[in-house]
Amino acid sequence: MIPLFAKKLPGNHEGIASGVFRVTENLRLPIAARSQHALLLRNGNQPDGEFPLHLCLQDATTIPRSLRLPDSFSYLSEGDVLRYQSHEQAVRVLYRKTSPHNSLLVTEQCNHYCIMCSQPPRKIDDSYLVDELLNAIPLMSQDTASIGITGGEPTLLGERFLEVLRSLKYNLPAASIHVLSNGRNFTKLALCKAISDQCHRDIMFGIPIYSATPERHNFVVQATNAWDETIEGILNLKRYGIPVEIRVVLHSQTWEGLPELAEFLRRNLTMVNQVAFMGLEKMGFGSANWNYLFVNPREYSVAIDKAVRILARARIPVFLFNLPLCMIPPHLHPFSKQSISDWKNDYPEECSSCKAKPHCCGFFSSTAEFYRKHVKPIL
Amino acid sequence: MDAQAQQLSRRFSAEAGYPRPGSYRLLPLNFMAAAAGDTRRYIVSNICGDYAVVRRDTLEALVSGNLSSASPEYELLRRKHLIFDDATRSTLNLVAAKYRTRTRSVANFTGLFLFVVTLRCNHVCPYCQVSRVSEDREAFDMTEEMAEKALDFTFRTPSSGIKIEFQGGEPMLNFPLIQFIVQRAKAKNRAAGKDLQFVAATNLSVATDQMLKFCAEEEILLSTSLDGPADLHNANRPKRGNNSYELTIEGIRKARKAIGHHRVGALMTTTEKSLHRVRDIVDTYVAHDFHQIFLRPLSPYGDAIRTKAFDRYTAERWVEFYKEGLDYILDRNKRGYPMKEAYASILLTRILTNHGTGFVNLQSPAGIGIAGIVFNYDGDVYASDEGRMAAERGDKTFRLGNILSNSYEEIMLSDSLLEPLAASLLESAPMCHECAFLPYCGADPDYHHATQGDFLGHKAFSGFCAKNMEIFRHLIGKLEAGGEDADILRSWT
Repeated sequence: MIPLFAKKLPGNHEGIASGVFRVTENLRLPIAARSQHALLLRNGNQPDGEFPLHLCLQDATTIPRSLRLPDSFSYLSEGDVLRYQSHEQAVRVLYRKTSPHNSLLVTEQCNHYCIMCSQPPRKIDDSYLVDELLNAIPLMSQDTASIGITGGEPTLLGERFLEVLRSLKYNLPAASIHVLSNGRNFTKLALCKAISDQCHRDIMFGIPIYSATPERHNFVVQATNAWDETIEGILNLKRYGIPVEIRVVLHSQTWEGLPELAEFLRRNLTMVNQVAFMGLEKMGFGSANWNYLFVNPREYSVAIDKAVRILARARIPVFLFNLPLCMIPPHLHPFSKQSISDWKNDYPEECSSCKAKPHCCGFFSSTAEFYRKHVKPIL
Repeated sequence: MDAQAQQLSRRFSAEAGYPRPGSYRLLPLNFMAAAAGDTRRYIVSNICGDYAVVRRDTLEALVSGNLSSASPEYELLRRKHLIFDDATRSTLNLVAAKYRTRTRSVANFTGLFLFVVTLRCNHVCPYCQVSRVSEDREAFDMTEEMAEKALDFTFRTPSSGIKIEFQGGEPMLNFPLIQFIVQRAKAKNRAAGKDLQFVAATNLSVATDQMLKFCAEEEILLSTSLDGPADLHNANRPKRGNNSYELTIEGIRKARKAIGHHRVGALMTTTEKSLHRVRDIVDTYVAHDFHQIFLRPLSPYGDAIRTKAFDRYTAERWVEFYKEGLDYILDRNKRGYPMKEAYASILLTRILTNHGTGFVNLQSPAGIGIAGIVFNYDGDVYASDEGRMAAERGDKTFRLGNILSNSYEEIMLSDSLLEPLAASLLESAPMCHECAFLPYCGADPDYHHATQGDFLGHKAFSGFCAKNMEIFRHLIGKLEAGGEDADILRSWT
C-alpha cells in the first residue's frame, strides 16, 4: 500500500501557501520557473536557491518552507502533483506521473447511499476540490494516458463537472477518461449533449447496475427510482454515442441475480461497451457491512460463469475485476484484469509461491488480511 | 462472527423499504400454445421478440390484470418486457430501441444483388427450373451493357453493405462477365466506399485454375451444391457421365486450396429422395470438413407443388426430416465437432437477439426487392430468385422491369413490387398479427403466390407457416429445456 495522504507533518511551515505543486528533483530549475513547484530532496541534496515548497525525505531543520515527509513517501518522483493544506499541515498526492491509476476525486456528495460504498458520501461543501483540480490538471504531464474521475457522484456538480472534463480535454489531450457515475443525471439529455459536444472523444462512464430487478438495485443503492433513471441515463448516453461500462460489485445482495442481469444486458443494453464484475472492497460501508455482504467468490463461481458466458457469446466484452485468480475457475482467468489501483494493492505472504501471481489482481490492502486464510497458491 | 454482525448496519433501510409497485400495464403481446394442441403452457412474446413460457393460469391472470406483483412470474414477465410498472417506465424506451434495431434492415434497404450472368449449365437437375444446356451464348448470357446498367442500379442503394452474388445456370460458364462485373464494381466502390462482397454460386465443375486464382485475388467466396452422399447427390443432380458428386468433391478440394478452406461453402436441396437420408447428408458434410449445413426445405416452385393439401403434407414430412437432422447435428457438436445448422442459426438470432439477419425470406415487410433483387440474363429485373424461376415457367408476376429500358425509380416503385409488399405485411395479416412468432417470422409473397395464387396466403393452408411454426416451437422448447442442447443452440447466434 502506497500512502497518498499525511498530515501534521513536521517542518518549517512558515511562508508555505496552501496550493497545488508539481514535484521536481531538479535542483537547478531556473528560478523564474519555480512557482508551483515543490523540490523533492533526498540523499543529502541541498537546494541551490529557493522553491515555494521543499519536500524532505531527510533531516530538514535548516531549510525554509520545508516539510519532513515520512520515508513511505520516497516513491514520489519528478512530475507528480500534490496539494498542501496549511491548516492541517497536510499533503495529499493527487497525481503520480508514472502510475496508470490516477483518479481524481471531484466531490464527496452523492444521491446514492450504497450499502457497500468504499467512499461513503458526505453532505459538505467540497467545491474546493474542483478548484484545486482545475489548478492541478495543467501541472500534469501532457502524455498522461489515462485519468479516472470519481466521487461521490460527479455529475451532481453540473457545469463544474463539465469544467473539469473540458480542462482534461485541453490539458491532457492524449488521456482516456474514465468516470464513475451512477448515471441517473443522464436522464437530462442536455448533459449528454454537452459531454458529447465539449469533452474528450475517449471518455467512458462506468455505471453500476446491480440487478435486473429494480427493487433489488434500489435497495443496494438505497434510493427509490434509481434503477429506472439509471437505465434511461444509459440509453441517453448511448443516444450520443458515449461509451458506457456496466459495473457490478459482487456481494450477498448481487451475486445470485448475475445470470438474469447478464441476460437482461445482452438483450436490452447490447450497445454497452463492456461489463465488469468486481470483487468487494472492505472500505467505508463495505467494511461496516462486511459480514452481511461478504461471500467467498468460490461460492458464486457458477453464477459468474453463467453470466460471463451469456455476455461473451453476445460479443459484449466482459471483465472480472478484483477477484484473485485462485478464487475463480481456471477457464475464467482470461477475463480477469489486474484492476486494483497500485496504491491500495497487496498480496498476502501466502501468495509468494503462487505461479499466477504476476497475472493476478491480488487483493485490496483492506481485504488482504481477511483473505489470507482463503488463499490457495496456484503451483 | 456473531449473528448481530451479519445484519445490515442500522443506518440503512431494509429491502422491504423498496417494494414492488402494486399495479402493472401490459405491453403489446401475443401468445400461443407452447406445443401444438397442448393448452397447459404458453409462449408469450412482445413486439420486439422477448418471450416467456408460462402456465395457462399465469397467462390468464396476466391478461386479466390480476397477476400478483409478489409472484415470481411477475418478475419474469416484467424482465421480459411483457408488462411494465412504475418502477420500470424505462421499459418503453428499451422496447422502442429494440424495435428500432430489429427493423433497421428495412431502412438499410437492398443489400443483396443477384446477377444471373448466364442461364447455360452443364447439369440437368430436375429440381432446377431455369437452366439450359445450350451453346447459344447470345440467347442465354447477360451482356456487358446490361451488367454496367445493373451496377449503376446496384450503387443507388442506401445500404452500407453490397453483396453481389453470381448465379446461373452455371455462372462460371460466363466467367469473362464475372471478371468485368468485379472490376467495374470495385472501380465504382472507390467513390462509394461500401462494404462490397462477392459470392458465386457454382457447381465448381468448370472452374479452372485461372478462374480460382481470380477468385482468390478478388476475394470472391464460392458456394456450391452438395446434396449428400454420392448416390443421392448424383440422383438429385444428374449429369452426363453421372459423376456430379466426384466433380463437386474434387472442385471443393481445388477451390479450398486456391481461395482458402473456409471461403468455400456448400448448400443442399432437399428432395423426396433426401427425406429419409438426413444423417447421411450430415455425415457427408462432416466428412468433407464443413462446419455449417443448411437443411433447406423442399421448394414449391417445381412440379412438386400440386395441391394445398400436398403442400401441408410435405411440410410435416419436411419438419420431421429437419428435427432428425437437427438432433443429429447437435450430437455431432456434443462429440466435439462444432457444426451449425444455418436455418436454426438464422431463427435463433431472430429469437434471441435484436440483430437483423438479412435473410430475405424472413422479413416483414417481405425482403423481395428491398432486401435482395435479381438481374436476369436478359436484363429483366426480378424481385426475387424464386420470382425469376417462376418467370421461366411463364409467370412473370415478380418481373419489375428491364435494366436497359427502366430507371431505378420505375423499378423500385413498380406496382409489381409495391403490391406484394403491401399485401403480405405480417403485422396486418390475418392469423399472423396475433401469432406469438410474428417477431421471428417473415412474409413470403413468392411462396404464397406459387402455392395459393395470393401474395398473403391463407396461413391455415400454408406450408411455409406450418414449417416455421413447428420449428419455432421446437427451438424454443429446446431452449427452455436447457442443458447442453440449449447451450449449443445459443452459441449459433
